Amino acid sequence: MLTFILKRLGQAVPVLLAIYTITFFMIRLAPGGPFSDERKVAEHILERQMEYYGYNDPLIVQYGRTLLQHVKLDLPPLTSHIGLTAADIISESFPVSLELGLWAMAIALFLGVPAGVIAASRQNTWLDYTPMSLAMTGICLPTFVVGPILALIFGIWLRWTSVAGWASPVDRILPSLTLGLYYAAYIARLTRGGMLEILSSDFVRTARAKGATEFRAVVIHALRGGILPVISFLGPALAGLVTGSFVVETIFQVPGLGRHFVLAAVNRDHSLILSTVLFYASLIMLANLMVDVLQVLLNPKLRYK
Amino acid sequence: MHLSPKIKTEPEAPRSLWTDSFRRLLDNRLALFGLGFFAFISIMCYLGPFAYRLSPDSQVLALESTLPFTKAQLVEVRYDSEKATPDEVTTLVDFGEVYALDPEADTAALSRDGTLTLKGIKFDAVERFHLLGTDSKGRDILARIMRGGRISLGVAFLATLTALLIGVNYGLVSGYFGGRLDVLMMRFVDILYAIPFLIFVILLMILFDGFRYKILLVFIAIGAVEWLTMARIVRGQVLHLKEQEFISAARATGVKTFSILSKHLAPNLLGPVVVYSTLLIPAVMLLESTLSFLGLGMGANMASWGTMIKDGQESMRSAPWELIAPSIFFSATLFAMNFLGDGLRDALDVKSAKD
Amino acid sequence: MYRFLSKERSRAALAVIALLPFLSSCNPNKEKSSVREQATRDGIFLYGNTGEPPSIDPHLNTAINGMRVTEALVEGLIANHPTDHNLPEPGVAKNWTHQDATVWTFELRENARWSNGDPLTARDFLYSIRRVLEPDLGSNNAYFLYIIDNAQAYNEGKITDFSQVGVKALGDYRIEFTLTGPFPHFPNIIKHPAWHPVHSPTIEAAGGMTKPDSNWTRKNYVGNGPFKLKEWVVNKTISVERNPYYWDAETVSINEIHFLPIDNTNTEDQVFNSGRLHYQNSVPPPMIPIYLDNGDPYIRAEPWLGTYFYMLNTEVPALADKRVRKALSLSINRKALVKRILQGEQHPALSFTPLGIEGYEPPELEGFDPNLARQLFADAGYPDGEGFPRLSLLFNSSETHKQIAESVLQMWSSVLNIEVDLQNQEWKTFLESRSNRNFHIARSGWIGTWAYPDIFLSLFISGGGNNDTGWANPNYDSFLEKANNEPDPEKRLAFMHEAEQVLLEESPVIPIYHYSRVYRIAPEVKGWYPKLNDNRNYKYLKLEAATP
Repeated sequence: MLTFILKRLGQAVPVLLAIYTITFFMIRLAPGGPFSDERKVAEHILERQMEYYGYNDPLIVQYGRTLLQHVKLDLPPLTSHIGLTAADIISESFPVSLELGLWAMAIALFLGVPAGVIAASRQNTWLDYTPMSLAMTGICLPTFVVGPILALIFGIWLRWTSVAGWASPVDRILPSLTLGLYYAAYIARLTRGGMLEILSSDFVRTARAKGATEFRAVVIHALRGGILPVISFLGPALAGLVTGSFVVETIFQVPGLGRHFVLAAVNRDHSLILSTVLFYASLIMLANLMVDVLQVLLNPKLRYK
Repeated sequence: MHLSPKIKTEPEAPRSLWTDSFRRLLDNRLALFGLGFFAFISIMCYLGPFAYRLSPDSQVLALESTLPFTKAQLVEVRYDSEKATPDEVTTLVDFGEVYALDPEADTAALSRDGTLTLKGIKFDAVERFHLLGTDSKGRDILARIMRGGRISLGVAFLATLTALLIGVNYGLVSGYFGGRLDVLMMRFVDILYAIPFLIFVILLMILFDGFRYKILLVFIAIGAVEWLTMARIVRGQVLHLKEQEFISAARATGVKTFSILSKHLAPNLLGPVVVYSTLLIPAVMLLESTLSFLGLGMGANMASWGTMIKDGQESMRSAPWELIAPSIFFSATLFAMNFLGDGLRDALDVKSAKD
Repeated sequence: MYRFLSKERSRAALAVIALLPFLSSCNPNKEKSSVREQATRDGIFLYGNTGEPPSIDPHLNTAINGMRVTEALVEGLIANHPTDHNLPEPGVAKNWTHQDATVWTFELRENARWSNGDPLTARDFLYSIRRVLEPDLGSNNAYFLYIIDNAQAYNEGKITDFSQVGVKALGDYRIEFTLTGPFPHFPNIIKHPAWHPVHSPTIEAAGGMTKPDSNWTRKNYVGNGPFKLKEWVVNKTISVERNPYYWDAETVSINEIHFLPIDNTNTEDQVFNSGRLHYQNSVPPPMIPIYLDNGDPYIRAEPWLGTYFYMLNTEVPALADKRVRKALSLSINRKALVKRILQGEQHPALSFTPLGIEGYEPPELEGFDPNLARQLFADAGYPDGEGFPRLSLLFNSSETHKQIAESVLQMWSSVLNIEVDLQNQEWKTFLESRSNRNFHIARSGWIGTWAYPDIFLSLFISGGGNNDTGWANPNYDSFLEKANNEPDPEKRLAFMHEAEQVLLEESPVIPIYHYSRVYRIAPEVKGWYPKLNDNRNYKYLKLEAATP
């Protein structure tokens, strides 16, 4: 197991390098630069800005220099937040996104998995239809619709929560719910699908035939296999959740990392794009690694190989 | 070494399996209902405009948002009385405020005679019935839903299919062969996950500037992102399945790799694939609206369901039906697809077929 | 719409039982007073500030939201007047004189101090002017200072001796500017933060005056305004508090201002409705009529010094003909657009310069005239739109731009019988396309930094950097040239009027509407007056709790 993990971490290096390279050249190909604005910048001013931020060097030199800066974690200055580096931005906003993402993930798993398991074990009864219809509704209502509706009901009409911000504990409720409910719906449906697959398979039947209680058959034996699609889904989902969601952060004015991904691209802040992409990529790989480890753990046959 | 019973039956009667499945599908009322509703929506979107003849683009600014079941009293304004199309369409009320010399008398005269000429400008009274009301520019919502449905259903179908084809095959190969190939393929997926989507879309737009079939770019953009998770799910499933007895058995008896993949593994993947596809469809439809906001895809005035929902959300508090109407069509269609998907899954389920 | 019924309330209570663990952490007093009421008592002004500014360095910032913050933190020679955009309010300067509006001398007050207690002198101003003009700083604001003699040459590196630039400190408390020509409105011009002073020791400690990414604004902001920086958390808040060293500290009434960077207008609206803002910078257009109809006590609308317009690329053959350009303009029903789409108190624009500039009455275009439009179109060789090429209308992705573009499209189609495509691009791509003249018709907007027509008219000087229309007219240029050399304010404006007449006659641009600002403000805020350029002097604002 340890060698497996070490190997995967070793693979991360070329992957990050590839991501860095692709992203670096992609953003240079994109039209518009960090300094363009409604009022055009004078030629000689632009020249000076390009010089200062290193855009006048040959592309390959810039490529190497920025790469080195990322390796040494001595990040280049930003053009969209003057006086800060991506390290400041990430260290300030990632804890926010992480907290929000974990709340949302907790809500999603807490609601989604039991709903899916119950629905699958009572297939085609109202215990199946009700949670699945709710889940389907959750999937059909995008976060940009659910968020404002929740804010309207709980923040404005009932005054139970705040409508936006990220200061008091109350501020966590609506964004976590909006994000969590959406993922809960996904997880519920994936769980149900996976469970149905397993419940009709031989070894659960065997377990049932051997007299295992229904609870044991469903939860202990079936869940282990049935949850597989959920786990595959969780990897990218987790990385996506903890790095923040642009929509939810915008609606609820959460100072998280998700907005920086989009705004960095909108503002063509090249160093911020590169740094956040590399950060996100590392998380993705970490999450996928965790998922793969989990898959091995849940699948005894893979483990003993 | 014993063979799983399903392996034995398979080669004999694949045709009967399909017939079986079809019969089971017909038995599933919910699935049939889904199929029926889906057919109804498709027919409505494609043939509806022939019966409901209001144009989705024709604006009546003065009308603004109106409630469903509104009969609007409109006035066509022609500065040149010979002209076929009106220069402006406005409401009777607005006519009284803007054009009429004597608001009360002129409005009364116009609604009585149906036509009126003032200072060389010709006015004709017309009536329009808006079944689902109008949006903030006085455009008919139902007409827009019908046209938007064509875009959304088309995108949903094609983009999901693209994501499905790539994702399933990729995951199948990666999971089944394992080893180095698996590592390589999965790390490639990791790379694609991390590429900034916004920049990718902007580049696509620039590279294909002036390209006539921009809608194809939408498929590329959506396909490029949405197959990744599908591939991961399929791979996870294959890793689990390939250790099961019936696969090892097939391998041991020398069944060709291709037929193991297509005949033994693929059918067992149906469940998660169908479930994930039904989850993919709404995501794809909404992603399309994001892309069109960025300028990729349809012209800006061609509203898909996703765009309509997005616009409706903006006016959620002033004209909620602008959000509710497209959302209902959107959700209902997805519910129908979902029932159909579940029905298909159950019908094609090899294991329950043995019961 | 926002009143809630007890029945709904109890029903919703069921749904929220699941949330109880969260709710236990709620403040129990919240029912009694809203966040805003508490803030009013504490003297904290909660200010919706549209978004996160890239910088609050007065010399580097170009964004409006950043300017709203710098107005609290630094003060120039002349400050913003509380009620009138045209009147000079003494800032660091207590009085001033001028010769022919060309040489200006300002007398500084001796009690002006920095927020760390250091005295503020004419040398600080000299340092600051130099910093903005320093070629190595590369400030986008440098051109504001080009009206100083030799400033442009210094900024462009043509001269390297700063003493040749027309600014001199005459002792500690006098500063003299020599301008390139007569500028009777100079006191209005120098209200812009580019003219404001920065604290030289702080700047030097943070890497020197030529460091473009100096982090002094983040770590140790030393200013001379009525407020000083308290806390800056990206995307969360910029809080400023009273500056005890401010020369007029006793006038300052508010204790703190919290600039909240809320970029989504619907969110901002909800935050205001939930009682967490004193000032809401923008109201979502669909909500404007609702608030107006329901007699919302907070909403205000007032003209703003800016114009929304379409640029025509005159290098496109079909648009090279001025009859075509005029026809396109004549077939737009601006009144209907403004009333139905923008929903605000905007003014349909029949001139390029906005209304309300003192002493200037802009010439006017003809309004909506379909017959004349068709006539001109036919004269240009396109009777009933026949043979007219399919053009496209380019705009940057935004709900409002899309709404306006869709409607204009419809008007062109029904009046001129032509088909035009809509093309939207995200912001930076759009800027690139527009500046490369890779468009037929493009959306544009211009906001005046101070209220004078030259800020608008100088856009279309032949070959001007922001003139993306490709239109060049020697007549126009010469009128502007004459205006700039004319010391008499009235004659100056008369030349500008002539120039604008030429611009409208030739129509390389189609003005659509003059901006207006629709915002909401709590009645607790006193001393907030409508201002054409929305520049505030926060020291005159007061927060008074409404009497129960």
